[in-house]
Amino acid sequence: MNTTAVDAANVSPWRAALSDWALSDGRAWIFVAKTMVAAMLALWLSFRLGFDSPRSAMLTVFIVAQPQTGLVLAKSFYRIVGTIVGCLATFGLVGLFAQQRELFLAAMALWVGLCTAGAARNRNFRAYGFVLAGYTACLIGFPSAQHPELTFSIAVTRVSEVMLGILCAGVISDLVLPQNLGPTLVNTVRSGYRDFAAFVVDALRGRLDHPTIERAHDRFLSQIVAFEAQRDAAYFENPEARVRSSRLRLLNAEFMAATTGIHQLHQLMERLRARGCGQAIDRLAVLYAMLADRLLPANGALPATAAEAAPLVHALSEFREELPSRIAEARQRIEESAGPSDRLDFASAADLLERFAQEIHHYTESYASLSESATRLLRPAPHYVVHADGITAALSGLRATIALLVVTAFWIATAWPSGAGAATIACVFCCLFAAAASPVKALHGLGLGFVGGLVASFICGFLVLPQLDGFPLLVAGLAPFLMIGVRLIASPRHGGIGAGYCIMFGSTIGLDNLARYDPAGVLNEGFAALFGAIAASLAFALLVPAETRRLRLHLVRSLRRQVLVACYGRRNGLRHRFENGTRDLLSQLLAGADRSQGEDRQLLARALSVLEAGRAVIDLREAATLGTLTVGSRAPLHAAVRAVARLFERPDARRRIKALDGIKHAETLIELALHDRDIDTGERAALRRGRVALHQLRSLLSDDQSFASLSAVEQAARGTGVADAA
Amino acid sequence: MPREIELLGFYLPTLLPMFVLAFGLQWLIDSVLGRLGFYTRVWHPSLFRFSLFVCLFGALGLALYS
Repeated sequence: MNTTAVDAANVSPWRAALSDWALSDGRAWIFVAKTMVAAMLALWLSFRLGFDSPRSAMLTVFIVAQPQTGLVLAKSFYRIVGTIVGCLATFGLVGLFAQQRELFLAAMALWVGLCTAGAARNRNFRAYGFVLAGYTACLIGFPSAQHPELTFSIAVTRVSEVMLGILCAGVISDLVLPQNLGPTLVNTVRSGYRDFAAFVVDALRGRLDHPTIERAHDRFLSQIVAFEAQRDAAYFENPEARVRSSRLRLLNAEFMAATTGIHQLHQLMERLRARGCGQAIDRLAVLYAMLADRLLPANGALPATAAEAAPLVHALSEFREELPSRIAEARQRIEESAGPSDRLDFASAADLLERFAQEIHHYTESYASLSESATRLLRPAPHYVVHADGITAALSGLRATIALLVVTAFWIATAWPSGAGAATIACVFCCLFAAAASPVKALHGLGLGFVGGLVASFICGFLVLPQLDGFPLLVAGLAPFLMIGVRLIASPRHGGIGAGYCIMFGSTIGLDNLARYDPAGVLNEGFAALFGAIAASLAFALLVPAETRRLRLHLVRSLRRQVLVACYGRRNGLRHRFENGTRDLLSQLLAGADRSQGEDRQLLARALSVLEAGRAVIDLREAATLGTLTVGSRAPLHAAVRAVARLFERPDARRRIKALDGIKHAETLIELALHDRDIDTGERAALRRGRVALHQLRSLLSDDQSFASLSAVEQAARGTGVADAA
Repeated sequence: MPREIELLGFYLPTLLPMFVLAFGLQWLIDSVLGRLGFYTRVWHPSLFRFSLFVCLFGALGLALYS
């Protein structure tokens, strides 16, 4: 017995180290092994089936290689769709313009531009589908244009090779030691709920300071975006994920609403504190604490799983039932002693509290419903809204078109034999990085990988492979070179370099059914690809610069102008469109923000003010359109909305005063209308809601800090621009 | 059944539409089984799914080449 104890003591550090390795580095090596197996399987099958270029099946495996099955399947799905659309487009282009190379190349450039613009307007793998549609047309179109009669067979070969690669990658990824996205998604949901609930409890008990709040909202935002990407990909994984998919979408939408809700509530409380509205605050704090107690009982804990959240749903629904009577009770106390402004403050905050109680109740309910297998949705689940900026997308399209035109013009003028390869690579890059936050940096990594891949391919193809004979030895010869690239893909920091390495290696290594020994040809192809990559980087850096201050300033302004969406947008589903679009835009901006300069904090502050204002405006518009309102009481509400819209279009001191005047005017008119005893209860309720919304807007706009956040970012963006120039 | 079919003047192996059909059938059966919670009782759901697909495609292929 003693010996075993000693053994255990000796073994356990080893075992701990081993399990540690298995969880971190081990996973990466499993991924490498799986990718290699899939690639070699694809290679072997395409040799057996006699495809024209077996390497492109292998290349597809590397391109769709992702650690998790759902990601592989999602990328594969969009790759198939994009390839087929690209094929069809090529048929059309070759059919129309095959005789005239200038016309053909111009039409091709236009098609690529359209696809790039589409890629810039979409997110995740959907954007990838657009990229594929663009560059498949180049891949098939350039050889076909020289031999139009072979177009169909070139297209069929390309599609079959891509399909074969995808099948191999998908099957191996799903069957051999599968690493599913499901558990990751479950973890994201659980930690997200706990994180948010803890934040809410702290906020309600008034224990938070500004930096903490901003950090928390930053976290929530990246969680929302990552969650949507994971959900989208997990959809392809298995039917259980598909069943849950719409519930997860609902959960994410309700999470967004709740984060804005708690922020609004917290802000109003802070402003009341700053103005010293003592009585209202004391009453409200009691109500807030009650909600906090429901969420986190004195000796309880936050629910760790969806199943544990079920009792909380009950508690919250009880709280919501008794809340109106408690509010009425508190209001009576206040009306006995306080003035009209205190009463209005209280009414506003109580209204927000009621709203937030509903939001957190819905969010918890959705969370709890994930543990059940029932397929019924609690509420209709809105789709994730991507903020697609028209100007950015158009510029991306223009850039790709011009880059392709320039490279092909060079190709025609110099009669360069490898021109097609250069044009294709330039097109691939322009499409692929159309939506990237910092394309030049990404291209840099990929270019580095390209050079490495070319060197490795040369060594492998002309020093190693000629000595070997037969498929097993071929695999043995390729493996060490390929594994370097796949291992790099698996590492988060060098993913781009790995991808470039694998793409270059796979496309220049001479793996054809008819072996050829042509070092000069490989070098030509390789240099053409490098030339294409350089042309694309130049296009990003010079032609239509992707990272200019002006473009960024435009996006920063769009963030403020989101309020105009709330002011003038179609009312159907407006709430979700506004909330989600603003967050999506903010996440795009934060991806390129200079965090050392505190730009991220300014952006967050602006986005939070925008969310607050937009929400109040939507409330106001809803109150104004209620059927019971008479025309006379409706007009000032609309006038206030217009004044706010003008302020957010271009904020300055004069417009601020005008907006505040409009709001004040509307408030007095509503006050007058409310004193009229003849109006019915429906109209009275609508007017009260309008009054609360106006009060929120007024307290937001008269808050100097919030107002400053509306113009501070532009100054900062200009400031960093000056620093760049210097 | 003909082993090749004509599409817009091109000959395609009939196995190709069979493959698509098998894929559709598998998707259908897969979602029904998923909704019934069948996969909680299976050791390796992906392997099961893959085998199901092989069976379906094989059966369709046998109908063609028997």
